[in-house]
Amino acid sequence: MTASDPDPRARDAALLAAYAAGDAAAARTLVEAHAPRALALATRMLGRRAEAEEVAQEAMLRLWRAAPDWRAGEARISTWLYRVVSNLCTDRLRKARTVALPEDYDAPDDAPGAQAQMETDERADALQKALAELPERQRLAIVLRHLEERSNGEIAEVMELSVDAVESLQARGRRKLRELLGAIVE
Amino acid sequence: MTNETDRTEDEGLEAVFARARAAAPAPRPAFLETVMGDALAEMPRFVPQHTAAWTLGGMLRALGGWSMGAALGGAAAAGLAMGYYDPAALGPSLGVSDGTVLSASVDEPLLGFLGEEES
Repeated sequence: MTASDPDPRARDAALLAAYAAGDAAAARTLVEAHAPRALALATRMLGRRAEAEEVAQEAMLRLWRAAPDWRAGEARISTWLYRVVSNLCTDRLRKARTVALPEDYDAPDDAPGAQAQMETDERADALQKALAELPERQRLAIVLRHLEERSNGEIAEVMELSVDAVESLQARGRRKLRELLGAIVE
Repeated sequence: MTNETDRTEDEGLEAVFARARAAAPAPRPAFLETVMGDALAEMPRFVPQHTAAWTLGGMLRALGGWSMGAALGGAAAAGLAMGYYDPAALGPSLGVSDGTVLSASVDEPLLGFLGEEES
């Protein structure tokens, strides 16, 4: 006889409650389950591993602080965390665009800093560069669907949009990626 | 034709995505340890794992330990016995050999609890 899988929200709430009660094992479980996801999304959005680690660490810090007040049934940790990461990434990207550069500033190579740490696979680099060309919301919708493999329902929750709006962003994003990636896609 | 082209290109794009998923680098151990360090630092003050309140040990601790628990238990048992047994059966314990209830003044507060055979 097998018990049915507990509701993910209830499971997440129980884990956070255990963490808030001082359970170090619960902390380890949460780190292993969620820190890599936060880092993966931040890396895809920002393209720079060091920056992505800062964002992911900050997002996890907010999770620890939210744990004592986490209410069962409110949200899944993954959904909540993706939303925090995407907001932090948006903040960073906006600041990067508004910082004034000196006149004689030689703009650094736009290649993502993560390039040094990612595989030398030409296609992986090309994808990351192409993602960087997409508007942020298209990039987020594409990354969550095709790289993080989240459902469009969850993506809609993360982005606080309707599922239709998410699918529209993804369709436009894919069209743009096909143009940018060209021969690689064939 | 456009739909077929789109489908083919989507398959090509999906292949690119699949390769990217497979090639995703794992987090650095140092990063994970940093996050774990934050978790422990932010953890509400650790509460020692005492016996839960609903266990016998937890209840005894709440009462003041085994000695108090034993005293209360004995008092409870005596109270149950007084309410359950025929007063006549308690005669020997009260120093009365024939079961006669000891007479007492009407001021005795416990008289009303000794049954019908009061003298």
